[in-house]
Amino acid sequence: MFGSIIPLLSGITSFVFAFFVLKRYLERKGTYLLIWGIGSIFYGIGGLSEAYNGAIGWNPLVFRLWYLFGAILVAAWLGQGTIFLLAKRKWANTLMVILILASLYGAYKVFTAQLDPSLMTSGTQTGTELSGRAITSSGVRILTPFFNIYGTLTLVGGAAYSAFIFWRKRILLHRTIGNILIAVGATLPAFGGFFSRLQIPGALYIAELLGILFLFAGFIRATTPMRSESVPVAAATD
Amino acid sequence: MEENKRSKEPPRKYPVMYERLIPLALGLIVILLLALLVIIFGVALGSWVHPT
Repeated sequence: MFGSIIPLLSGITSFVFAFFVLKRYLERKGTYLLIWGIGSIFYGIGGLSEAYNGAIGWNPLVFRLWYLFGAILVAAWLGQGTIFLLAKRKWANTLMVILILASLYGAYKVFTAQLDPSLMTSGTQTGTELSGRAITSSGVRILTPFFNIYGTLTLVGGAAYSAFIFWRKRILLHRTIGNILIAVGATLPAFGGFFSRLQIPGALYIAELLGILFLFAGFIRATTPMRSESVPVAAATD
Repeated sequence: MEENKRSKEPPRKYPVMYERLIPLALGLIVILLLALLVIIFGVALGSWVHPT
């Protein structure tokens, strides 16, 4: 079940999430929505690749798709969406160009890498989940932390910063809550990867599912105003 | 003028439950973010969890 059903749910949830985000993009525009939609599709590709591996077995193309989209690109692209939302357009465009070039380089490295699937069941991995250990070529896995540090700082940091700003002004409670959910959801897959390294079976896939559920819930919360948001202090103490 | 307009606005408050929970959640996120960066850097710098 850990190997196929849970990542399948992650994949389906991610594509539904992407549909909602891209629908909003078509209605309202906003580059950040487009990039978040693309990032959500990457999340979905990662989940479906894991489900394929769990249900059917090893396939080099599926593994490469999983590693490129699920392990390397997803966090960075979601974070880039946040950059478009919060940063000046000039900076956002510059970082976008760098991210596209880096993503193309990552794709080249992943699709030309030598693979050995037997390595996924050895060493520090649980053996139940896909792992970058299957990549034997140098210069591929070293790319992942750079993308993930960028993605974590921008996605988690951006959501937390937004939540803090709304909280400090006591405005738009739904966005404060939504951003908190997004920030928590964005940390979960990375923690899942860490716990997977500690040989906790299923940790990565469960964390990925919880991560996309939190991101989805956060997005819905942030875009749906609440009935009672905030009130003047005098009224609150009545 | 904008400053004067802003200063006339009464301070606002979220409902009580959120006034208590949101600072805790924000603090937790900062801790999670720092922990995550330590983990990513740690993994990037070498397998310090299981040295091989």
